[in-house]
Amino acid sequence: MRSIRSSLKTLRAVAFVTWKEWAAYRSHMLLSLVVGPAFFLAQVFIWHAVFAGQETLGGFTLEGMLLYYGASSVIYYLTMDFADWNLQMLIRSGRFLTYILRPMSHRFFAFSQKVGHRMLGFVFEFLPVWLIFFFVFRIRLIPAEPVWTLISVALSFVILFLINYSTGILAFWMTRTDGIRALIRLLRDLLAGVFIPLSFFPEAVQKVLFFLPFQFVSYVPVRVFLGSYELGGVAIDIPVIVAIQAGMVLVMLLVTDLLWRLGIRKFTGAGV
Amino acid sequence: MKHWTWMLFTRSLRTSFAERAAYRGDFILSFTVSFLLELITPLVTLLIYNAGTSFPGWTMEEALLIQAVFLLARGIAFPLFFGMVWIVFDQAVQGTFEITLLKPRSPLLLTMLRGIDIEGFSRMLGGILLVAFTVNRLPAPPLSGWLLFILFVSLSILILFGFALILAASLFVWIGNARVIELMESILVFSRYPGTIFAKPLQWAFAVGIPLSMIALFPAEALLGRFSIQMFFAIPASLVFAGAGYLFWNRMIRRYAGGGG
Amino acid sequence: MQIDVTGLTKVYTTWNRGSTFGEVIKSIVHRNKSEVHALKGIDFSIDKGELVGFLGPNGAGKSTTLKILTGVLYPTAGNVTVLGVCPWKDRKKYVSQIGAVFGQKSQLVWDIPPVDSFMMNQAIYRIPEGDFRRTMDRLTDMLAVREQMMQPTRNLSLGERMKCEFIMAMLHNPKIVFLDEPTIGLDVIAKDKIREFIHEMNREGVTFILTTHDLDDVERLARRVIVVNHGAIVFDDEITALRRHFGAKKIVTASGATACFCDDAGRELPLPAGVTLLNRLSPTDVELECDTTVTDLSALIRLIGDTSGLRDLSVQELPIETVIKELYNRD
Repeated sequence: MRSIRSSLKTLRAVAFVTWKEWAAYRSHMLLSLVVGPAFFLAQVFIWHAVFAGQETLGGFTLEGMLLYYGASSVIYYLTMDFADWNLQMLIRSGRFLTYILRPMSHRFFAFSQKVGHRMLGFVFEFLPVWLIFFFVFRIRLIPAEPVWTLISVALSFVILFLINYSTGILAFWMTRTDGIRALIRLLRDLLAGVFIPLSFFPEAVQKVLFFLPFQFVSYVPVRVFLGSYELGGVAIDIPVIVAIQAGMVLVMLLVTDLLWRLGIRKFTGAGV
Repeated sequence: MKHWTWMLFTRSLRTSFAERAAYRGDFILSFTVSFLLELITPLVTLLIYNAGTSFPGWTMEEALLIQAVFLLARGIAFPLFFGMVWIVFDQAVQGTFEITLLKPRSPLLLTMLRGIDIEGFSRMLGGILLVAFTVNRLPAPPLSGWLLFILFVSLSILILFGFALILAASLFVWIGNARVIELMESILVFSRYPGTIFAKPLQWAFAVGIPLSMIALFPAEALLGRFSIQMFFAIPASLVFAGAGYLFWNRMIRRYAGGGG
Repeated sequence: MQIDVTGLTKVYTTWNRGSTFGEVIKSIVHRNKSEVHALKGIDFSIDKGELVGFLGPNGAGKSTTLKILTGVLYPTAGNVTVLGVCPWKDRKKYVSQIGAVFGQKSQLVWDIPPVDSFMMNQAIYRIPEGDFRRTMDRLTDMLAVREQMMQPTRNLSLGERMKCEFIMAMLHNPKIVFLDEPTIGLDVIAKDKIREFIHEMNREGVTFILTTHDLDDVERLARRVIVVNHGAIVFDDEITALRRHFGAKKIVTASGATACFCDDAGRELPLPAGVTLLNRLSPTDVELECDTTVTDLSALIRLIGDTSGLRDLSVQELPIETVIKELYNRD
């Protein structure tokens, strides 16, 4: 119990420092008020045109499709991070040395930073964008099952962090990770249903995607938000898919653990 | 006199190549990824048509043609002009832009050449391939169509150059904001789709205001033999847009150097 | 006169954002403007072939002056003529005749050999092939970096890199070279080599303007020193005059045979007028500052000899740091 309490204290401390650090750049965050709605607006035009004469497409009605993209967008602002860029920057510059010298898991430290950063993002990105969707686009982003949605979004918060963090760990082996990180980001977003709902992919592909961690980053929480989950022709109850999501958190924890153990041995502190 | 600038250009290309070659593996990966990233929109279009629907008035090949042209224009403009944005970003943050101003050349030329990124040419290759692929599946365009296509693609590259100028210039005052590129992407997204999905007023805005339609839609329509009056208004609009970008760049440089003469 | 500056003034406007959350929110709507007077109408002139040191605490206006002299910044008021032109008005023509080395900002490309960066400069400055080869060969030999310049910059030591920065700055045979902290972070040997190089080029007629915090650099290189503080020039003269600026003070370190200027109980005894105790190393050894306009050296030495017996003595100039600190602290 004591160690959980002290971990929470550390988390709070690091989160608040990160909040203050990034509060200086809140004008950068406010850009999301333009970027998010702009991308969404494009989707509005696309799907309005494409749905002409169709009731459903890929299992969605027009309204459902717009809800999908809207939910995707706001959930992104709740869960996004750039832990991969951060970690590779620290390793490349050698500054990582100062973190190894601390009696704290860097992964937990980076996670606490994400908490602080997203707290700021909640105020300056999520809330305004949600309001814009509600009042300007008339998209009522209210979850079908609030409690399960909250849990699912929280879990995807963690999974996305672990995926990005694992990508950052690759910097132990490669001097420049720009290419591999871009590739992983591309795959992650594509296979998470960010560009188009996963139900549009061929069924065989969907069945494979079920076992990858990517769908749990966006597709799953968005589906839970919308109230029903279905992939590869199989429908799954909300509580069950959220439980599977929790299981994926454990899997990713093990993956980062393993990568870390292998990678830290390679760290030479060059460039300090 | 002229050959000095050519020498500068070739040596910049060589430097860009040498810089990238220093990290071979990453280069190959980045080269591939930038190409793959551009395939997402065509992929989505493919999946939409596969699902049994369409953009009204456009077959799949026709819609893909727009995206192929976008890829081509981007593939030429980005490697040449957009590295400049990151150069200015770094130099504004570190305060090293003085070094560029200390050289007896136009800072625009120097920054552009310093930013040439040969990795971006994968998009151009991809664009050429995709355009060839889609044009192949369509009725052959007449010569006039090709000529207009070349004109429009040139204007398209000019517009993208204008965007690069505006982005880079804004970094002189909005120092360290890495998200300006995101902002541009959220605007460019509207240039990748058939114009018919937008309401008429918006179509006109994209032809005469910020000429987004000239970037990919109009060149594609030229090859398809579809002409609209908006196209011809978009021609001067493109020149105005690029000119505005250039003026903005000059203004920001002067502001960086402390204003007024 | 190669460089002529009159009434140079520069005022910056900065925006205050505030630090508390309330102030920050307010600042989105209305920001407080505040003016910084970086330069308050300074005058100076420099001749061809001079080697001038520009000193001053941070924020004094040194880098502002440097930026204006290099044509990078426009002043608020004042006239500057360098090599017959106004730096910021005729920028392109002007900068082709000057060079600059920044200790903290590199002009070399990190991942490729310096020689490739040199070739870029050839294209930028339009240096004919023959001149380029000859100058590059000569400079690389002078600085002994023939082999190093073929390796990627990131593989070079800081000293080797700085030497290449110097070559980069001088390939186009500039008439004036501006140096900003050129020896920062270098080891003694590298510093020496660079200083030698600067001397050599200066002998050939290249004017050097040196901005630095390294007083060793100043002592060994500069013949003339301009000290800037709070946007104004507080000293502009030869370096020898710098020390004499605060009276003819000397530092006398004396070792007496017996207790020197203190009694058996260890209490301090009064010193003659114009003499202050800087440091007591032991009952017999002292460090004194002597204002020779009040008490001359021979009188002081005779006094020490008479009262404690003189075993060892050294007389030194006031260290330049003390003088500079005094100038910086003045308002």
